[in-house]
Amino acid sequence: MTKRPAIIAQFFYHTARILLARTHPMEPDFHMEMKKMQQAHAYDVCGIAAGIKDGSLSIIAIRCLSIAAICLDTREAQDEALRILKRLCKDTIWHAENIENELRQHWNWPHPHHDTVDPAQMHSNHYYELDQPLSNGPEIHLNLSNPLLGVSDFSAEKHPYQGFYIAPHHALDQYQYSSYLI
Amino acid sequence: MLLKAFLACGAQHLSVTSASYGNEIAIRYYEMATQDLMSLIQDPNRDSVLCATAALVLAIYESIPSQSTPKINHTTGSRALIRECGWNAKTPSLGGACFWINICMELLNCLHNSWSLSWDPDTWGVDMNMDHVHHIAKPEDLWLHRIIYICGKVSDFRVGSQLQQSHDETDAHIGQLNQKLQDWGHLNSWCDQWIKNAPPSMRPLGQIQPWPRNTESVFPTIW
Repeated sequence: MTKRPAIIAQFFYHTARILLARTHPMEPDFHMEMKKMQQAHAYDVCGIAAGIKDGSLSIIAIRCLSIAAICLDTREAQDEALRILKRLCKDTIWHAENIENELRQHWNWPHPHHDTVDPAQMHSNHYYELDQPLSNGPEIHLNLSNPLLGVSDFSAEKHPYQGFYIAPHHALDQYQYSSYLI
Repeated sequence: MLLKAFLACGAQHLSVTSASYGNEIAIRYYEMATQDLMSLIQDPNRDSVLCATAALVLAIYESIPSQSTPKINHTTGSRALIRECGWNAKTPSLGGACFWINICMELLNCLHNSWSLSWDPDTWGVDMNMDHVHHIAKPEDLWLHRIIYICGKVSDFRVGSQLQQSHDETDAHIGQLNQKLQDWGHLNSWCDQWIKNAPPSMRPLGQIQPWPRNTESVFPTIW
């Protein structure tokens, strides 16, 4: 896969398959089949992530790898996934430790030590952060909801840019937009 | 304004990835760009394209982890401006790019946090007729948009299945289960169709399983 769209598409494809395998409505009856499906697609995500050299794909690779890695059930695969994760996080804005700690919990690894908090990583309450629990399946219920729900429209009561926003006189028309077409 | 927003992103990225840089410059550019945007959105004759694009770049700035909390929420603001411009999956060029960046940022968060998407994928305007052969110059973008749509639908399906966890034997539950099975089958067949019909350029050139290669990796080599 030499083109970026192909790599991104493969990440989304395998992630969709992993999530489908995790959420089969008759899961107990199809347990082995779904487990096999999860493993196969998780291994593919890890294989693609391992080959990523384009830094611009790191964020998608990290996100998909962190979902796929939950399915890994051998220590060997888990160790290698963490090595890939650390390599991808290097030189990016993401801290591998947060994801690693979550994965360790999912894999039931013993906690290595009580972390001391690095001030550089104190960036809580941030929308796009990776330090919230990775959602595994039905057993985890997160109280947080998508902050974009119900507020990302100027017709909403609590619309963004309160006190600044004034509706435009004219909707964006083709004439105005055409100057931006490449 | 747009340049200041980009500079804010770049400076913020540097301050997070390199200890040699502080975030003062990033904050300054962010505040200047934000101030410009706040002035512009009070003008009813503004350039809506410029405003929506700058707001998106500032939302990306806000997505970079930082010790300082931004005062303005450009994540919701950029989404509202993009919607106001009427941009969706059918929009060409800049508007389409902004739409997809915005959608992908949200989807990655929804996948991670198990949140519902705030913008229903069925209203994105993605052409999902995957049996129809398109003779277009760059089919990769179309097939990428399709799998993002499918992943968005699967993400929402997962959230729905987490919310409905009753295990009684009532007719309502059985009906609900049947519906979920039908939905699951539909999503799964979309994945089948996508992988079957996507052009060769969307697939790996090769894939070698680890066992015949005597490698240290347990994962397949995919390129």
